[in-house]
Amino acid sequence: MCGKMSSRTTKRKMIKQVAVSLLIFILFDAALIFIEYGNYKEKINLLSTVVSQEDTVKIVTGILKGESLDYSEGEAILKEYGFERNRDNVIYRRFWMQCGKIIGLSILLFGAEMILFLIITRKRESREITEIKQLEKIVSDYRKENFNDQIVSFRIFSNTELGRLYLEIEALGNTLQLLHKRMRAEKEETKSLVTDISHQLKTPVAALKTSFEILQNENLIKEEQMEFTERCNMQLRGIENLLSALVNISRMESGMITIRPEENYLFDTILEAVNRVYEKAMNKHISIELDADETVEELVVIHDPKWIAEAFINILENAIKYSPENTSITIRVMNMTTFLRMEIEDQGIGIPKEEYNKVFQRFFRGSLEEVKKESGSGVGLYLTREIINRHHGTIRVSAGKYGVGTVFTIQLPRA
Amino acid sequence: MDTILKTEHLCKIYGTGNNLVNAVQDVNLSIEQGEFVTIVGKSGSGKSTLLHMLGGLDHPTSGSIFIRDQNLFQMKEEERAVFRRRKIGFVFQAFNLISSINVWENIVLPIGLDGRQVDEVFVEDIIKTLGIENKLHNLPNTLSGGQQQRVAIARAIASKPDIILADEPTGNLDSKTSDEVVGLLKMSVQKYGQTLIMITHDEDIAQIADRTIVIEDGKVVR
Repeated sequence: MCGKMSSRTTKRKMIKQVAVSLLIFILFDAALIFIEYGNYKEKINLLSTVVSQEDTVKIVTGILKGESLDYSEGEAILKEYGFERNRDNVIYRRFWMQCGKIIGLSILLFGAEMILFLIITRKRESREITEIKQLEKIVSDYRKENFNDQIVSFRIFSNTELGRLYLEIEALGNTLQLLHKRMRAEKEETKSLVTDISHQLKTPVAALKTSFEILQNENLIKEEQMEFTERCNMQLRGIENLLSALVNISRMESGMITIRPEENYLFDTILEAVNRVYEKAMNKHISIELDADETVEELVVIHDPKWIAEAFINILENAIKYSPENTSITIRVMNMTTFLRMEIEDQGIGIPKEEYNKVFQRFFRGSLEEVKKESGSGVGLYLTREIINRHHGTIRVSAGKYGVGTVFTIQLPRA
Repeated sequence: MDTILKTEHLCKIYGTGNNLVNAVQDVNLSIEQGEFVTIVGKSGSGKSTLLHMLGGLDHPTSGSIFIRDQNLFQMKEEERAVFRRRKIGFVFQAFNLISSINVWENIVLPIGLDGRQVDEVFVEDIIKTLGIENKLHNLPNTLSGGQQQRVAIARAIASKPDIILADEPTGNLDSKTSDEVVGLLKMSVQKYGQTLIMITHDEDIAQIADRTIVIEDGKVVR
């Protein structure tokens, strides 16, 4: 329908162009004929003037000097001889012939112009059609998820309407390609997640199996029995921990749980996270201090409270786990222009600089002895970064103020 | 397949004889569409030279750069200029705003120079994201460094380029503002599907990126 409409408008435009040029020709011809008629009249008047006087030399020199013509008398004389003005005479016929030549010539010219015009339009149309066919091909390739067809550069970089259209279409293709890629990456991610999870589960389950097999041996003494029962218990708890972490990431990764950011008080979310880890902190006599402006209490930030609390809890639990007793954890909240900035600082063992980038990787465990001693799945910080990322925020790690402990800096967009 | 930028054996040599400097040596990079990559290195490591070549601002001595399979240095000079204008957005350490025109005019200037219509809805969205909607009629000099860098980011994104090249965008800013500017860059490229390549000497900031490339003495070391 669109094509029809555009062809109708181009047709209308063409007709208009033809009509305008026809009008120009007619006006031009009329002007020429008018001039010719003036010429003819002047000739007749000259003859009339000359015929009315005896002394032709005098009259002619008078005319050449610019004296006004007095032709009324001569006109009458000529009439007597049967040559009436505008009637059949050679000069009048010549005038008509001249008119005929003008009209004939202009018809010829007009015809030539029309032919040229037609050829040019045809050519332009056929060029446009090839261009449009090219565009059609690109767009249909996009639909077939084939993004390899690159638009030739001169097309994009010609500063014409069509060039800009190419640019827009190419941009559309790029966006599609990006979406397509993200989809594929998600699929790949799920695949590698399954591999990772099965790998992570194999080791503790194998250990549990060994302990059980030993327990089944009836020759064990009571102490040994006690020891292996305790080991089984520990391994089971380890598996339990790992499982709940895995459930969290797999739900997140497979998109079963989508983050629903809504306007909520961030302060409530922080409190919720602190409450959840409070007992663990108490047991180690670690105090959690909040350092924030009073305005922060009233601050509404677009976030999903459940998942952001989860992110904070992971950081806080790490801080408690890797801090000695009788230390403190400080949560600083600052209101910036676009982001809300949060710093969570502990006085714990710290993270070696080489591991700054790695701590956020899935299943990464630190290389320090203190880390190896503690149980953990290497999932917490990975999940935290994932959650923050999906809120379009950032997280990074640095050393504490006096070189002691760790600071996690989180930025969340306020709106 | 989705590589947006690729370099092959990229080299840049300054001077001759005893004064010969290998600013960039045999760099082979491949950057995916939508990625946020930081290039980290000390000053003098060749990272700025590398970035300038990636943006077509500087000629390599040898090697080639492909942006979406198009060889950047096989184009004619004027073609490359248009290409740069439409495909690449720059953010510099010194902001490089024009001081005699206001913030809005600074942001839309490159679009106007390209003879394109300003997509006002899009530009206003960027301005809101960057939090400079109340500064549009100010002159750049009246803004703080962080605000000026926001304007420069808005200007880079407004012409909808595929790639944003940022050369030490936080070099003149304090640490909190730096974090915020990098967060903004990341958020913007995520939102508008662009690819971001940022130079920095601050490894802490580099953590925020998807990937970090470390460059030493003109060579990529990891």
